[in-house]
Amino acid sequence: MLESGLEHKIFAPSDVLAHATPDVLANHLPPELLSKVLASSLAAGAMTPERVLETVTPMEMSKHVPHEVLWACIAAAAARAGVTTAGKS
Amino acid sequence: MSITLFFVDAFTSALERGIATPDALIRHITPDVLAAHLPRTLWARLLTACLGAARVDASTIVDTVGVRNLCEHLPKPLLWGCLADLAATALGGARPSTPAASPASPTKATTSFAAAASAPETLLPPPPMAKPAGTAPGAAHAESTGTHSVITSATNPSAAGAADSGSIFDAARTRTPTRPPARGLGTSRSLSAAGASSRRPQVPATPPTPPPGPTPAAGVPAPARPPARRDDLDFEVETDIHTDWKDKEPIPVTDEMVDWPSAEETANGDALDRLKR
Repeated sequence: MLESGLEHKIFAPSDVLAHATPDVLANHLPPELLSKVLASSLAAGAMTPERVLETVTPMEMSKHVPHEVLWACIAAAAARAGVTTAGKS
Repeated sequence: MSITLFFVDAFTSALERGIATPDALIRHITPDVLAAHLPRTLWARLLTACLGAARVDASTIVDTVGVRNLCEHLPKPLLWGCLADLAATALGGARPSTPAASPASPTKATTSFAAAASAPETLLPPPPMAKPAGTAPGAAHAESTGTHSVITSATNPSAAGAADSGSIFDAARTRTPTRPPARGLGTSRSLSAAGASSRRPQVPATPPTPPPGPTPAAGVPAPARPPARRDDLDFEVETDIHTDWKDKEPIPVTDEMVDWPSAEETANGDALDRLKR
């Protein structure tokens, strides 16, 4: 779902990192991934949400980040798109 | 004993003085090391800072995590290896035993305090017999040529061993381009070697003048000196007049001492009234 939402631009990498905050990533990603994120940012000279998600792929996210967090990201994107209000009326 | 505080002081001082750079630290403190040893709270801080920063580099990491946190959490052998590497880099530029390497690496000379402190010391003495008797300050250099050979042999054993074959002169000649500016700066050693007059070191600062005559032998300099010294004397006499004039007490001026008709410019006020009478 996360990969599909990014692919179809339902949400952007910045939306993902708005939920999977640095605090969440630091507390749940394994050291190897943290090292990769920092190393790629050092090599590129900047750390952007896009670059973080290139290193920490949606598959890795789903493996390590709590699913509640990822679901909140997807639900927020759905709310922005207006698809969650139809059933409530 | 707190080895952590020692490392904190050492790295902080090295960073402040430019001996260490964040890049040099991150060569040892790699992202892998940080990932393995930094607590997750510091990683959260680091990721937040990196995502908010326009540019991510080694200084971003060092500034965000902080030297104290790095020294507290990273393995001490790793920190020591980093410190030893910094010291080796800093001290490596000061080694006089490798003359070919020091001019080829200017960065070492700029980062090394030891190099800055010791290089003038070893370069001060002039090369022995590079210009045997023709130079003007030959008397001052005659004393130091002896010490030069001692210093050279002490700092460069290979040069000392080659002294008989004459290659020591070649080694000394390679240093001569850096020596004249050191003497031109008026170091205490050059001043004391110049002689009794404190103005003598200013003379070499002027464009080099040709020697007054052909290279004199040991007994000839006495007659050859006066023309060269006359310039110095003129210069000093001129300044002495000024100082004498300033130091003397003012002479009281009486009416008898003033030739009023010839000094019309000063005839004003009371003096003008006296003139009218």
